[in-house]
Amino acid sequence: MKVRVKVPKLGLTIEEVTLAAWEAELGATVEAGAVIATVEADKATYEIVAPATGRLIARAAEPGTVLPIGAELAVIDA
Amino acid sequence: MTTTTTTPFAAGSPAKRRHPEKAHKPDNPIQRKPGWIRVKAPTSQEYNETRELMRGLKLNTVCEEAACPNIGECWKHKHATFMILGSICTRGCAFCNVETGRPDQLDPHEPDNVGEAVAQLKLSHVVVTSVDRDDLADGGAEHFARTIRAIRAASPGTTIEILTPDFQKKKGALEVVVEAKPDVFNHNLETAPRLYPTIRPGARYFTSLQLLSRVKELDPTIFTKSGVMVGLGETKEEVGQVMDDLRAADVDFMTIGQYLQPTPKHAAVDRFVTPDEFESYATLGRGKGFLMVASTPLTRSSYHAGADFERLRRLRRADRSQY
Repeated sequence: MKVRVKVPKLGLTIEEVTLAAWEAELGATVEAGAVIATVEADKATYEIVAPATGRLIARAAEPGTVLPIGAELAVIDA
Repeated sequence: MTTTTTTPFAAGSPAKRRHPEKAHKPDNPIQRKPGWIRVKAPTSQEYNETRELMRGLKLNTVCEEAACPNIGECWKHKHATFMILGSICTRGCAFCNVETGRPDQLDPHEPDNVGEAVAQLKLSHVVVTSVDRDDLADGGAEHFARTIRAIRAASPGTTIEILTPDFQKKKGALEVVVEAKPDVFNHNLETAPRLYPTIRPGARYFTSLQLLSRVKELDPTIFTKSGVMVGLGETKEEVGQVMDDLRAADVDFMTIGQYLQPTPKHAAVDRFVTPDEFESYATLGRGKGFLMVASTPLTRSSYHAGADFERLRRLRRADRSQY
């Protein structure tokens, strides 16, 4: 089953974030709850965690990319 | 320190709509955050449930309005900080992300809705704050008191912490709130007095100090609490002076946290204070006689407020047993 990881809603007024870094390699097996990426908003850097255990089969953007809230960030084959 | 490209402050952008008084100001680029300003993104089921409950009861939270980075952690435990008196503030502080402008009409059901939410969330401790309402004759004092009474009625076992505005010295306002007997009365000084004209232009440092002092005079059983943000350009000596002033006002608990810039139109971060410096502030504050000092980069007024309240109670009992 493919699990799509989206940029979560971080607050009422945050509309977009900048992808800061990937913390998991493409193709790697990630555990549910493990940090797979970090994104930066105006007030803080946020850790994005894997919602399910599986293989990270897609990373949708490169670090430095500005992404709107709700955008697809990654896909995990769970 | 390197800077990162920031969200543009375009016409019609949320930032411009929310803070019209800042629209003409030049942009302050938002700095890249150091490693210690890092949190888990909010995704828990409890977070979503808390959000749904707030929307259902038409309640505002400062957690959302201020874009607080701790929202994921706090809401996971259903620790939301209610923001009453509407969602629009009548002041325009340079650090604050709460919407400013012409305020809403008071919702007469808001106190009862807060009480209902506290009961539904089964909170053992609740924090209630508000926007400034300088347009109201009592600054919103009676609404605060009604909210305290509504929480007591709906959830008698819940301890209540309020974080209030200064009520602009409106006659009798403070007395109305103290009479409702909150367990903790918090009013933030926010920063050193030298920075008030730029950071907190609608407020006066000594008005805030007097308010805290007066709470203790009116009811010495109420814990008093105040906080400052650091990283706005203050010196360590100025923070020490604020501590001395708060102790002179008999304040029990001080919080110190890093200022985080909400949008490019807000005051720039002067610097990111290191975790070691925060620890040093905590040591300094404890030496000056506070019952408690919470001082970490991500400390906010109501962060861990429930656990801190329990500690405050224990420390006061231990303090009194020495005499």
